Amino acid sequence: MFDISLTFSRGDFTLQAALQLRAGGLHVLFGPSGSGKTTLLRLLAGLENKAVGHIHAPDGRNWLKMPSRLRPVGLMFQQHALFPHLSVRHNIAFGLRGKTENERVAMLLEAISLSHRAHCRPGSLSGGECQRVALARALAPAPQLLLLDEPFSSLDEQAARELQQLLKTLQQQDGFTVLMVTHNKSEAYRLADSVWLLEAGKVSGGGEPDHMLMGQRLSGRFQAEAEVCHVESDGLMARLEVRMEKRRFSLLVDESWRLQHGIEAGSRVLLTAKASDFSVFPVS
Amino acid sequence: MNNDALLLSFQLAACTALLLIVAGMPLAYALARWRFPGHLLAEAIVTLPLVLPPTVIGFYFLVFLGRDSAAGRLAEHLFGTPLVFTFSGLLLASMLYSLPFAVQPMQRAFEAVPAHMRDAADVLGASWWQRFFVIELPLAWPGVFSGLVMAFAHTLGEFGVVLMVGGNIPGQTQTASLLIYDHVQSFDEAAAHGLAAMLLVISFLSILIMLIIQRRMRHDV
Repeated sequence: MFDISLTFSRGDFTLQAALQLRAGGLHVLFGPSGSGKTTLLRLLAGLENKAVGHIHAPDGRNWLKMPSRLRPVGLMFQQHALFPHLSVRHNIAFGLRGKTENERVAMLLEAISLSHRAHCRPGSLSGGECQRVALARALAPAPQLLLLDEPFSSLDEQAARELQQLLKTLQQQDGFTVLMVTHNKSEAYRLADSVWLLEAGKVSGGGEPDHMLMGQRLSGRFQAEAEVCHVESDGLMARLEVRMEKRRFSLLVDESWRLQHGIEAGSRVLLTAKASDFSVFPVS
Repeated sequence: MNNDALLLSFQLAACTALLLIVAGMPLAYALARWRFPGHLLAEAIVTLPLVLPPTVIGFYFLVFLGRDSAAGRLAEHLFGTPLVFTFSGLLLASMLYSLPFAVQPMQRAFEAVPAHMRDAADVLGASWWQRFFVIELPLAWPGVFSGLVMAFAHTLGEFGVVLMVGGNIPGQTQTASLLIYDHVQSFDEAAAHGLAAMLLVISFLSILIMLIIQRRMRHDV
């Protein structure tokens, strides 16, 4: 368990945070702009050094007393922050020291499916590829805690889903803990083991995503049957074209989920959504 | 004679530019990265030679580093040669006069390195040296290169400072720009033309090469 208690002040802004993060879990920090989410990540990474309190890690040490470069923390920035003059390979290897450097880089390049672009500079990569390299770079030194600052916000839906799947896979392999900042409620709901709400510099609570994100607003559930008309797959994700009464629309799902449930053209699927996701407008 | 003056101008410009890069880089980095008491004052002092008449710099150099001054006597005692009317004196005065041309492009270049690049390097466990030499310096390199060329080209065309501090001694402290002046004074227009055209072409080519290399560096990044 990570036991975190921090107080930090700069000018008029004060941040007070008390969180308990289960080791090996994926935790989401949720809150409006300016609430201090990025500041909290920077404090945990050691990039701000005037905080008081403690960061008790599962290894028994208080990380608050350690300089940034010695903390076993990885940080993935919102805009990837890859070093533009270094190749993909050298970006990933930057945080590595020692004899196993080449093997570790090769393993990560394979995991992010970019071995063939190892010698390219970040400027020649797509946004999704840059975020994958940034994830690999943050994970290269095998951190115990990975901090993600809105990692999917600049990506389209498919690229975001691919990166989320990759993150989950790597987390299952290596067992690191993730604390992720996001503005996206459905992303938080889908990925998180626990959600922590930050408002005006204060952590107002944490718990299960259902409880923290839906609360009293969850007042019902919409569901309807639809027919799958067409399936397109790229091996990782599948796009289902479904028909419901006279309307057709596309859905993006994990290919492994589709295969597991035998979803093909002609299959019938049940669509569900939380009532709180709907908006109501009068029909003129 | 023409060759001696031209060679001396080149030696002076090259030594000034190289020494200013070495000595000016820590200053440029400190001004770019840290806010300390006296920061504004330091920046004003670095910028001062841009607006100060060269004769003023030359005059105060003679006053404070001349053979009768305490600093001048100390320098003569340490190095065995006076600072005024020597190449060492010319070099020191040129460094002062060209200081802003080297420091300002480097300072702007270090300021332009995004903070999240430094943060990323810190979180990845980089030491200060590793961060500086692997991340910050390569990213700021176009500005450092620009400082080098500007200091070189500016020193090549110096007149007032080298006249005051060097004394225009043929074969010793007479630079190409001083020799052009001498040619004009003695109505030798053809010789003045030849030397002036050479300096014009060299200065133009320096700036052109700088711009080409800068553009390539930016494309590389």
